[in-house]
Amino acid sequence: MKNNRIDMKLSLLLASFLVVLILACQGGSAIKHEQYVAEGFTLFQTHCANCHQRDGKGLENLYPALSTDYLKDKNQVICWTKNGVHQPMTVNGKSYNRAMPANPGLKELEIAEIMTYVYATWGKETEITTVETVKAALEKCPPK
Amino acid sequence: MNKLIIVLALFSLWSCSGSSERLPILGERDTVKKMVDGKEIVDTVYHTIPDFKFVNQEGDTVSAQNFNDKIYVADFFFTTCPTICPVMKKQMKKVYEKFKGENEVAILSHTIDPDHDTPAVLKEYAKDLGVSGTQWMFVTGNREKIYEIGEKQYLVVAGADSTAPGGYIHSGAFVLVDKQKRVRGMYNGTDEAGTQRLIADIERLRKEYKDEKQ
Repeated sequence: MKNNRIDMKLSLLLASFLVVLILACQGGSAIKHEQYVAEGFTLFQTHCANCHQRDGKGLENLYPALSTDYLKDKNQVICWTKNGVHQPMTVNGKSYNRAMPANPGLKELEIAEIMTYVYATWGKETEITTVETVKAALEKCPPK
Repeated sequence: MNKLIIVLALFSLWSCSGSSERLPILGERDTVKKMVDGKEIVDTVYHTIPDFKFVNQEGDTVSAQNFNDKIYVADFFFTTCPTICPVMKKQMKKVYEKFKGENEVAILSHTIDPDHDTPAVLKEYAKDLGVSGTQWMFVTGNREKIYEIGEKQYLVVAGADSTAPGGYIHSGAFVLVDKQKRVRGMYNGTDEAGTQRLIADIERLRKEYKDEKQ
């Protein structure tokens, strides 16, 4: 009987510990997402918004909008961000033929933050784009 | 004494409100003495934009005469600019849309990268920006002449700088020029407040000319 009570107490304690742990972890990933979005926002304003505009809508037929069509292949968008685009592309049925400059100075973490911001804002994603994802994508980019 | 102060205060208020209806005339000014009806009078000579010769997006030569009797907005950019130009062009597009078809208002955008920005490149840029006709002129020409007119006449910075992204440095200003080719305002072309102030000032300037006619 006594042992049973100790067991119960112990399992309660364990259960509550687990709950706290799960909550903390969830909180942790949500906070990390927010951090990435905040950092990504700042980087986006510096490196992307001049052409794609702060609202991501692009500018007429000069620069494409960051629509779901533009964002459909994240690995490709990661390559574009780092290496630029040097051939015409079609977005939402409109063709764009102005080169996009490369951003060779952007680090993998910065690209991950930009992707997280962009995909949170215009792709409705709630998970971060990890540095590992960026690294893997960059390794497979087509040669410049 | 008290009355005098009140009168002076009222007078200064009146004079302020009077002057705020007209836009200031910017740039260096000179005075010249001349004889009118046997009397010597002092006249003010304002800074004006001298004649120029550039080529627009249609391949036509453009000079100051093309802007006779027009209020116009001048700026400097280049088509491959990754920094402030796209922002400026988005803002200038609002000015264009606002005064589209108004014969009295024109826009003059100078490229500071004439090697790349040929009339054909400028034409395609204009088309992609949604601009047709020549109310908004995109001009190219002699590099030195473009930099010179920017710095000395429109009072803005324009030039090559290998350390700047894209290779050129230039001001984000929109310059408002009146029908006498005098500079009447400078506006931050990279933000909404500057653009709205420019649109309001173009309206004010049009009203000045309308009032003068009556």
